[in-house]
Amino acid sequence: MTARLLGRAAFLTAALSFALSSPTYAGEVEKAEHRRLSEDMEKKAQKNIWAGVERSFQELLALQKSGEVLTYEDWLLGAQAARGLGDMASCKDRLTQALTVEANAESQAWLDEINANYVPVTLKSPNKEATATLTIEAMLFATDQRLAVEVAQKTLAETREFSGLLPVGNYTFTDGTLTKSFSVASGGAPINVKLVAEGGEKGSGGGGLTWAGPRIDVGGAYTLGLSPSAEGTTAPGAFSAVGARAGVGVELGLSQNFGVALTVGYHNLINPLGEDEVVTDKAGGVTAHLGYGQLSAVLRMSDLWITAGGVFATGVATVQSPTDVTIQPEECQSADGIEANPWCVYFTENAQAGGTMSGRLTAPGASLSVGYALFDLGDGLQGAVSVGGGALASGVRLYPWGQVALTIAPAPKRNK
Amino acid sequence: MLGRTPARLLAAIALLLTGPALGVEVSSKDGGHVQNPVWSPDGQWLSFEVNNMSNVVELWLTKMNGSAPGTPTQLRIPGASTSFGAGGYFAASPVWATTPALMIVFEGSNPGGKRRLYYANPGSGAPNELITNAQIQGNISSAAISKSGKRFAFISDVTGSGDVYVWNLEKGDLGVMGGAATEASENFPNFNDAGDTLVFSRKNDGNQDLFTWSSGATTPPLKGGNGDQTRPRWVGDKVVYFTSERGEGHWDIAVTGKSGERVVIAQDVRLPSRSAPAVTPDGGAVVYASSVPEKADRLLVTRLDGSGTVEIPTGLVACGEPALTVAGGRTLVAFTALPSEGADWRRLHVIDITGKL
Repeated sequence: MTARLLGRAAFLTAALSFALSSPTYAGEVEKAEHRRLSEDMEKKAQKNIWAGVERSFQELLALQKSGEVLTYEDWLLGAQAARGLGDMASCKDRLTQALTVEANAESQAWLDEINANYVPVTLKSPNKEATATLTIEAMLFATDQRLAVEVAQKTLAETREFSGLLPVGNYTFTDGTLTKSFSVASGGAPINVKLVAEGGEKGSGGGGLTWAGPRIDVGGAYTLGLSPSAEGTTAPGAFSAVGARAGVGVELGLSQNFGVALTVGYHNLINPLGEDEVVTDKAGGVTAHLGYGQLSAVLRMSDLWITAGGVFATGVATVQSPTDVTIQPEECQSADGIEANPWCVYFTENAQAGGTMSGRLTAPGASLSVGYALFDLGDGLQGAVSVGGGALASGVRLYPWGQVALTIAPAPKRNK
Repeated sequence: MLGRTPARLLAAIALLLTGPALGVEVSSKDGGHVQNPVWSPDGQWLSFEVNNMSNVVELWLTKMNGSAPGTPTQLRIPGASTSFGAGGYFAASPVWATTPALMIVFEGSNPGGKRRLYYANPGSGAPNELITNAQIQGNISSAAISKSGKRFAFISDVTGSGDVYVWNLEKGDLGVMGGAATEASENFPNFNDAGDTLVFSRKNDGNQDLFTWSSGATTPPLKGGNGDQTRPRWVGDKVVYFTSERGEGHWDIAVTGKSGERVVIAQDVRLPSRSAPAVTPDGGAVVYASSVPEKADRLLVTRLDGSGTVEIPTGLVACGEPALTVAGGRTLVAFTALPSEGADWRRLHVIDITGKL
C-alpha cells in the first residue's frame, strides 16, 4: 500500500515536473530560432542580400510577438535591410527601436540624418484610368534616397497611392491629366498631395466647385417604429418593415474634400396588413409612404464618401393596432383632428383594439451613410455602394432605419 | 609657394637647419599599420586605414580641430561585425566628393562577400552601398568622382578582366566605358577638372600603361614605356603618375601632357599602399616620401615643373604616404611613420607646415 502511494507520488511529481518544464522548453525553442534568424540575417547582410535579411527580420518580428526580445543588432540589421529596399519609413522606425534598446552615437547620427533628409509624404491619384508617375527634378546620388524615390514610383504605378518617407527635392506628381508639383524641404512638415482639381483651378479667379452634379441614392431600407415613449400617450405598439428608400438631388464640392448634398426622396415601409385581428400587444402590419428632404454634409477621402445630415420626413401610415389601443392623445389633435402637434403620430380612423389606424406622420431626423466608390459612370459621375442609417423622431417614438444603397454622385473635376 | 630664386632656396635650407617639425600623432588602435591617409577637400576630415597585415583592413575617420585631430571613428559597412577579429573584412581606398554633399566613397567587403563601393557623409549616418546589385553585380572598386559630382567611374569585374564603368548621374545611365568591355585589365580611373576625360591604367603587353578616354571617343594610349605607368592623376591639363621604368623596386613620379612628353620630377619615392601621387591643393607640387633609407625621416615637396624641392624633417622613421591640405589658413601634412626603429606598427602623424613651402 505504501509502495503504491509512493509510486503515485513519484508519478505525480514527475508529471508536475514535466508540466512545469514545458514552458521553459518552448522559450528555448524560440531563443534558438531567434539565434538562427539573427545569424542568418548577419550572413545575408554581409553579402548585401537585403531582401533575404528583410524576410528573416519579419520572422524575428513574429517571434517578438511570442515574447522574444529583439536586440540592438537585430533592429539595426532590420533598419539596414529596410534602407537597402528603399523603405525609409521602416528604416527610421527600426532605427528608433534600436536606440531604445541601446544608445549608440553612430545610429543616432544616422537617425538624425534621416530626419534631416526625409519628410513623410502621402500621394494619392484617384483617377483609376490613369497611371500615376512621380519624378524628381535632380538625380540623387545617395543610394537610399534613390531607392526611396524608386520605391515610391513603383508603388504609385501599381496602386496610385504612396505613403512613406521621401528625400529632400523638388517633385512632380502627375496622372497624365492632372499635375502637381511639390517640394520636400529639410525638416519640413508632412506633405499630402492628392491629384484632384483645386477649387481655384477653373481659371475663374477662385470660388469654383471641385465637383458638382446630381446625386442619386437608391436602395432598400429596414425601418423600425419603436415603442411609444411619451408618457400617457396611447399609440400603436412597436412595428417594423422593409421598404425602399430613394432620393435624388444635387451634390456640390466646396473644397478638395468637403461638399454638400441636397436631396428629396421617397421612403416607404411595406409590411402587409394581416387579415386577422391582432391579439398581441404589438402592432401588426404597417404601410407607410413618406416623402423626405435631406440636407447633408459630404466628406470625401479618395474613394471613401461619408455623408451626414438632417432629414425632414412627412407622409401617411396605416398600422394594424394592438389590442389595447383606445385613446387618441389630445395633444396630437386639433379641432379638425389634424396636426395639433406635428411631431407626433396620430391616427384618426379605426382607433379601436384590433383595428387599423391611419394617419399622417411628420418627423425630423438625422442620417449618416458611408460609401465606397467602385466605378466610374462617365460624364463625371461615379458609382458607390453605401451603407447607412438614421432616425426620425416624432413626439411619440423614434423611427430608426438602416439602408444599403447604390449611390451615384459627381466625380472630382479633372484639370483641363 | 616653392622658391625658384636663390633667396627661396636659402630659406628652404634654413628650414632644414631648424630641425624636425613637431607632429601630432593621430590616435589609432594597436595591432595594425596605419596607411593611406586622405584629406577631405575642405581639410576638415582625415580618413585613414588600419591594416592588421593579415586579413582585416579598417577605415577610420577623424575630424580636425584646427591642426589637432579628434578621436577617430570607424566607418563600418552594413553587415560588418562589430568585433575587430572578424577576418576577411575590408574597407579602404577612400575618395572624397563635395557635390552634391561632402561625402567619402570607399571600397568595402565583408568576409565572403563581394568588393563593393560604399559612401558616407562624415559625421552623420552609417555607410551605405553606393551602387546596388540591381545596377551592377560582381566586384567593384577604384572609385573616381568628377568635380561636378555628375560623373562617377569605377572598375568592375563583371565583364572582362576589370573594366572601367562610367555612371552618368544626370542621365542615370551606367555602362562600360566606350560601350565595350576589353580583355585587358584596367584600373585607377581619374577625371580631369572638367569631368569629360578619364585617365586610367591598362595592362598592355604585360605592363601597365596610361590611357585616356573622353565620352564617345576611343582610348588612345597616353604614356607607355618600360615597367608600369600607374595610378595617374589629372593636375590641370597634365597627368602625374608613378612609373617604374627604371626597373623593379625603383618608383619615380613623372608628369606628362597631351603631347606625350614625360618629365620625371622625383626618383626613388616610397610607393604608397594604394593612392596616386599626393598633390598640393594648388596643384603646383607633389608630396612624397623617399625610399632611400637616408632620407626616410623626412617628407619631400617637389614642384611639378621640377624647379625646386623642400624637405620637411619629421624626426620619425620610415615616413611614407604623405597627404597635404590647406584649411583655415594652415597647411597640414598627414603621413605614416614608425615612431622609432624597431617599432611594430606604423602610426599616423599630422604636421603643421604653414609657411614652410
